[in-house]
Amino acid sequence: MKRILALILSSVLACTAFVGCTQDAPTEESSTSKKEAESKVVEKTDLTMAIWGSDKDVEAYQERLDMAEEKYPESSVELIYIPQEYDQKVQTMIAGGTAPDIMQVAEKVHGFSSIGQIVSLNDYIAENGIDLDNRFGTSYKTYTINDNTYALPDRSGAMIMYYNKDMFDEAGIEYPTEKWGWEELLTAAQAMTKTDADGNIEQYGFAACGDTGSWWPWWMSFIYQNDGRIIDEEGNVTVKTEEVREALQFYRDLMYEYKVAPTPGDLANLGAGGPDPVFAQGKAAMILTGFWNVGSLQSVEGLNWDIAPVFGNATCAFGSGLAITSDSEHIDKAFNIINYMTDEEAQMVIVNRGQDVPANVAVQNSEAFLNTYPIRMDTFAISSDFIFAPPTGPWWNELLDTCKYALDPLWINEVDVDEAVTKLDEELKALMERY
Amino acid sequence: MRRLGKITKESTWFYLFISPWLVGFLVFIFGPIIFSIAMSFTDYNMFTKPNFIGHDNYKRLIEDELFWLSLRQTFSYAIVSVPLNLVLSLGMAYLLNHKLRGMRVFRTVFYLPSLVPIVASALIFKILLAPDGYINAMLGLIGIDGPDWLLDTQWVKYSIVWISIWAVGATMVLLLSSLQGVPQDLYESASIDGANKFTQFRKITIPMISPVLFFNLVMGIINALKAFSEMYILTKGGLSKASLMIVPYLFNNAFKYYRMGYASAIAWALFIIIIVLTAIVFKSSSMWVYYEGEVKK
Repeated sequence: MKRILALILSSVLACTAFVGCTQDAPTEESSTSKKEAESKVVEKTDLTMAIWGSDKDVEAYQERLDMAEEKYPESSVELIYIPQEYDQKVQTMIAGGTAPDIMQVAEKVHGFSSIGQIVSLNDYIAENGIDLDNRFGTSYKTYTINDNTYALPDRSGAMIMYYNKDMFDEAGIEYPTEKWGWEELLTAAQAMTKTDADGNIEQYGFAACGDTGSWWPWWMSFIYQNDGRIIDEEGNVTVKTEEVREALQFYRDLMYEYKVAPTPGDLANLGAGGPDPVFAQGKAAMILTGFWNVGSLQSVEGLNWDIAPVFGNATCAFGSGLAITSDSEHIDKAFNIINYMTDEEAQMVIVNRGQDVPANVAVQNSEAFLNTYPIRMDTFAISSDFIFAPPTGPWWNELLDTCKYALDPLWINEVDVDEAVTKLDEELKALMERY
Repeated sequence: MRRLGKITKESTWFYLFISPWLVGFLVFIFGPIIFSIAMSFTDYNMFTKPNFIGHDNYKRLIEDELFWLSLRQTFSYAIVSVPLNLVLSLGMAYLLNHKLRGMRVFRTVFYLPSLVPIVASALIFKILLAPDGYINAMLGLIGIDGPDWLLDTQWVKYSIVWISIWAVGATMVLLLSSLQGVPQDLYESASIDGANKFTQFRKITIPMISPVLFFNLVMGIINALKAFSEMYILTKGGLSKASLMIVPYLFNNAFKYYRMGYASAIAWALFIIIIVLTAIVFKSSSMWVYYEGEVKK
């Protein structure tokens, strides 16, 4: 009896060793079997496509892929949905020999391109006669390095300004347009900043800084608006220039000199992580952020708001593109798919589902897109003319941290602009030497 | 002959029972440790094949301003946090060791905060540590003008001392149980000899619980130097490099900059530092740690 018990116990123990050995299966199994049944007749090439995002994104991509498969019946594309740690997972797949044919990419695109994991699309673009400027405005430049384009932009919302219409009406100022420059911004912000009896600010004219520092689109936009660059096209560090200095000075002055914008300290006291909640609570007249805020603001009651192009003739864009991995055995077929996905028909799905801003400029100008929300949706098409491409590359993450360490003391007013610029110049030069 | 057979059978069962753990250890702990040492001598970026670069990583480590900064800041934090934790948990354990009504409730209450997940605690403290937040309000009551805990470059590294105090319950419980293990007759005979409470504490309590104190000191040092989650969540990489500590810096290098080789070198440098400190504490232990049954000359 004792022996049997011992035997059972030890085998149970041994089994527990294998408990943790399951694998997640991120791929959608059902669609494969369905396709196997259908593809008995037609000789289909199976392609795979990796994406990130939410369930809504998966549905949107699937709809567009179904349309693509109708157009190109010789290909069938299976979606690989990677909700977490996209970069790690894709890199593991590539290293393990199961690279997806198509993959969604964003600013990290050159992390992949620099080690040859995605192919240059120049030849295919030329063969298919695609005019990149025409189709995408300036947004494709983010995915281009050394004159090679590595991805076709798929979704691309420019950073835009959200403004509080009531505050503008109260101060008697005309709503912002793309013709605004820094002067107009400052005048308006000053007119709309209100202090209470104790001298505390109860309404900010402008808000664009967070309590843990400044998000790169904010300060970098000011630099580009002033024709400055932190790294120029040749890869030289051009931080110590008058243009960059002025831009950083102006951005900092909005918080500490003119006092129209909340400082990180103010935001910490308000319990707000950044400008978005401050705007939603009706405490700021203007903020800068992306398309995604439209959805959240829809559910805020009593806020009378609209959007406008960012001032200063330069803004950045958020979005993603579609790239093809070098390991793919069907690059030409994959290109047909991504060509279709970024063309008008398939891009309309993005609009119809309200998923994001389509990268295709013609679609940004279409009636359907302009009518998605009762706000100035033409803002995106107007902005597509002055989207700047930040200096992305395999150094991107480290560059952002380097800028953060050098510039954060400026945002909490611990150093002046000259010190910050000198430090940033030093650090960036040291960083870029390693590449 | 029969005796030998019995031993063999028992040892087979032994190895069989610990085999799951043994396999797990070799595959998931020991294996990666060896891999990590190997990687620290390469330029591994997790995607392309690693190239052997000798001790370049370690050379860079010595010249890396950020590495030394993060090390200094980690030590500043540890020097405040470890002694404070020990003193507080010992004090609390001592107070909770009295036979008063409702003591069980108090013990539970003081232990509970250490069970709150780190993420939740960090989020709570983010609000409490705001420039005009509750902690500064409380300090204001006793006339101290509290700094901007999360924004002031001098004070950020100390802001997580508050979280480590919040979780002092875990150490306190260990000390409490060891306090209760001290035989009462020692105290009785001491008070008969005329010793006051303070002398009793110094000469009886501390030596008797010194093994547990020793354990907590070593673990405290190790955990303080490895601090990561609190810092990461509280400051999200934070305002400027004033909040950079060694493990967050390692994390950034490994997973944000894709410099796995360099990050491995940092990890091993940290390991050596911790081992040296632990060895020092161990060596010193013969002077102040008393184990039961030991005879001191």
